[in-house]
Amino acid sequence: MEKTIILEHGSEKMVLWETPHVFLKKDFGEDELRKVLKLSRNSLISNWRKKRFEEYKKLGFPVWKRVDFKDFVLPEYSVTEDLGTIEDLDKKGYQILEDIDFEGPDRKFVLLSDVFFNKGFYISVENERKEYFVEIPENDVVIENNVVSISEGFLKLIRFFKSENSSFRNSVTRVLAEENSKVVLITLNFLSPSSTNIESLFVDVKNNVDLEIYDLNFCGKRSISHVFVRFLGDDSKVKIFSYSLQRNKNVSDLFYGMRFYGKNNEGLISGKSAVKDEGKVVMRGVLDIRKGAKDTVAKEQADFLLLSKRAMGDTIPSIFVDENEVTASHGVTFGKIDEESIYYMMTRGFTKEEARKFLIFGFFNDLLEKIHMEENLGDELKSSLQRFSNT
Amino acid sequence: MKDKLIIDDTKFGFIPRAKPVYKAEPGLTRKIIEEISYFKEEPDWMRELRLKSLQIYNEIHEPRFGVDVSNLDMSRIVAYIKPGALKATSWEDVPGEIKEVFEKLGIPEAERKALSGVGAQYDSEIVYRNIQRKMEKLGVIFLDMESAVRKYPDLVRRYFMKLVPPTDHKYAALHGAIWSGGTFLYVPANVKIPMPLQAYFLMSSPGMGQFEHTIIVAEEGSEVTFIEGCSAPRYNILNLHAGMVEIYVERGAKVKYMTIQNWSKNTYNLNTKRALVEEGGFMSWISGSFGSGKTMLYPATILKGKGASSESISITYAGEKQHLDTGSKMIHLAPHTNSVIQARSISMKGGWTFYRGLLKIGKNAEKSKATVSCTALMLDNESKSDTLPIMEIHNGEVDVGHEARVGRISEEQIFYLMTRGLSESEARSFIVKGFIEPVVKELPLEYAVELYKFIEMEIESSIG
Repeated sequence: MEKTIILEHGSEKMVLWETPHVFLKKDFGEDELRKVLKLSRNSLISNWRKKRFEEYKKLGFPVWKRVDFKDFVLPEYSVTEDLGTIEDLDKKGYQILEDIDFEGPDRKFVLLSDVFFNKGFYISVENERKEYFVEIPENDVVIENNVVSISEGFLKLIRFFKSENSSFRNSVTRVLAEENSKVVLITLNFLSPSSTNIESLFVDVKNNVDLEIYDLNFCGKRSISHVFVRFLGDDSKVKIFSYSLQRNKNVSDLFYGMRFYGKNNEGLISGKSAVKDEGKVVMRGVLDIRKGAKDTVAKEQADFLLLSKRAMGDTIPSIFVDENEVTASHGVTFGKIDEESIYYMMTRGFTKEEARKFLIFGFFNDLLEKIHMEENLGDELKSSLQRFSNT
Repeated sequence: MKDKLIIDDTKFGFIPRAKPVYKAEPGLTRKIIEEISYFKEEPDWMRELRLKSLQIYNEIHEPRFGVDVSNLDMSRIVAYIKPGALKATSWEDVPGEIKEVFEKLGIPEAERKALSGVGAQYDSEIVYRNIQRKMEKLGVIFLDMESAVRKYPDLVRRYFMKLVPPTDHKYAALHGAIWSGGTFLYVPANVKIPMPLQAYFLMSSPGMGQFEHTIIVAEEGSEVTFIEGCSAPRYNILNLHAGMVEIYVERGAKVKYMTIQNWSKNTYNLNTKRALVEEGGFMSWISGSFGSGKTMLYPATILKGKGASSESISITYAGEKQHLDTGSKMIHLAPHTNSVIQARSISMKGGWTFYRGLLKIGKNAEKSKATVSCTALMLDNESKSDTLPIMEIHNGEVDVGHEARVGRISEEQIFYLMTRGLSESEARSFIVKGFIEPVVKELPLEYAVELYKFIEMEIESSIG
């Protein structure tokens, strides 16, 4: 298993924080496993579920410091016959499940998806150009397990999920980007302000890959997003763009990590978060440059816009460097919409509300420019921003 | 071009001959703690604090982050050694063996520079102290901690381990149980001490802990600069340094605290430093960490009063077999508070520097400003350099900026300087000197000269 944080140097090891875990009164167990196994027709997957269950049942749920899971209750499990194209998983896809084995936000949540997923897709692209739009239907419980394989081609994958009611979503997506592939992955989380979302995206990148990841988290009671990219080959470029809005007393905990093993790779992590009310956004970044990863260029930038006195932004941008022939940097800014800017715009004829809205849209301007999506998604994005800046 | 740099620590690789007169049994028991307290003729409250700390030490877990201390064998660390010398008031009275140690560490030069007071700590007790009469007249109390506890028990009690209680972490508890030596500095209101006060700590017995406690109280409107330096002869068995510094900066006062740490490489340096700053006060930490095998040190400032401010400027250097985990903490609790963190680190010859910092802006700290800047220089490819700054901004009406970079000296830079007539080693040390300049420029001349010499020696030995 690929650990999220590795702090070792020669024979020296750092003492790492160990998250405490608790066993919930109600956890998924053998009954739920039996239920889903009955519906599965793919023996590779059934065996995978059984194997991972052995590890799952031994683990408790994490007690995190920055996101409160105290009142968390696992919802009633439900599953239908329509498990999605993950049922078509072949040996190659199965190997991806085996190989891309990361610790994730917490091992428990990775295994939760591995064992109990009730939805999932398997996409394999080779020497072709494909675009997919996956809309996750509203449901109280969505547990996803997705596998993507691409080589020598182009893939654009948009995942969109939205809910009106309180829902629970736990998702793991594993992507293998092989030689000469170009990939754009867009995740749009518009879950309701009472929902819990735990999203894990793990990517292995080989030689000469061009990858862009857009991770949008607009509200949700608890929005946990964990993206980890492993550079196994040389000459690849990966950019992660994160955009988040948070409000009420809700929390987003976003983690973006890159681990460089190969040579001459470039990685960028860029996060923009706007927070109001008593909301909180936590953005963590890890750039881990291993020995031998020569000529790596790694950069990380986190920008916050705190829109109320009680809004909170935590950021932990870390750089771990084992190789000296590299360029690594990170930067953070915390901004506010200050009276002077508002005043300036009011002298130019805007009302106070318009000025405020204008400044928020300005902060996210690059998002609106970068994502040229289907008309209705662009509208969805804009109306979310409108709602956020209105009240 | 050669990248390898060799650390030559022969400068401190000597063994002094002074013999301790009292040596506590290895291992920590209630009996030992009571003995220490009895021996030092302490008031009851101090004995109780030691015993309570021992209990906490025995119950509390090891720190859950930072350097690996699993090889630190507490049973082998002797808690207290009474020095073989009687207290001296002038340089002539200090025994020859001890002078020999001091001389190698540059103390006589510092003395010649007539810095205002020298509290030199040999083993666990102050053996040499020289305070100018002028300051005594100003009402400044500058005493070794044991004497202060006996002479001003109520005053010391008001401050002792109030900022860092024994429950803070395991090594704070250990410190509370077996602290020994250190300085008590009390500056009355509106007194501005015109020159830096200096204390030089040493430890020189095999397997012995060094647990000095320093308290500085700067009353309203006062100003003081304090210099702490430390180094240790080299031994083969483990040494532990778990000192503590508590600084109280009252309204409008200014305190500058400078440290140059150069413990020998078998030392675990697990030190705690904290300052509390009231309205309009200013706290400055200037730190150079060059020695020890393993260090965990995070000087912290709590900006409690409106308009309080603080800076923390540091250089951390890790060479062969060194793992230094350092960082600054700034905690803003009041409006209009300002802080600046500037951290630089150098790693070479397999050394590991780890920056771990915290910037916290509390809910009531509106209109505050903070900047954090960390830069790391890796001088070869055997070393490791990590940066982990934590920022918790819990108020929307603030200005916060942060930047960090990890890099090396590029061949182009060296080439350019060589075309201007410098040798390779001159070019490298020129760049490294420039890199550490923010700390060096704050230091008194003799420290700056010593530091530059150290850098030149390191670079030259790597090229030659």
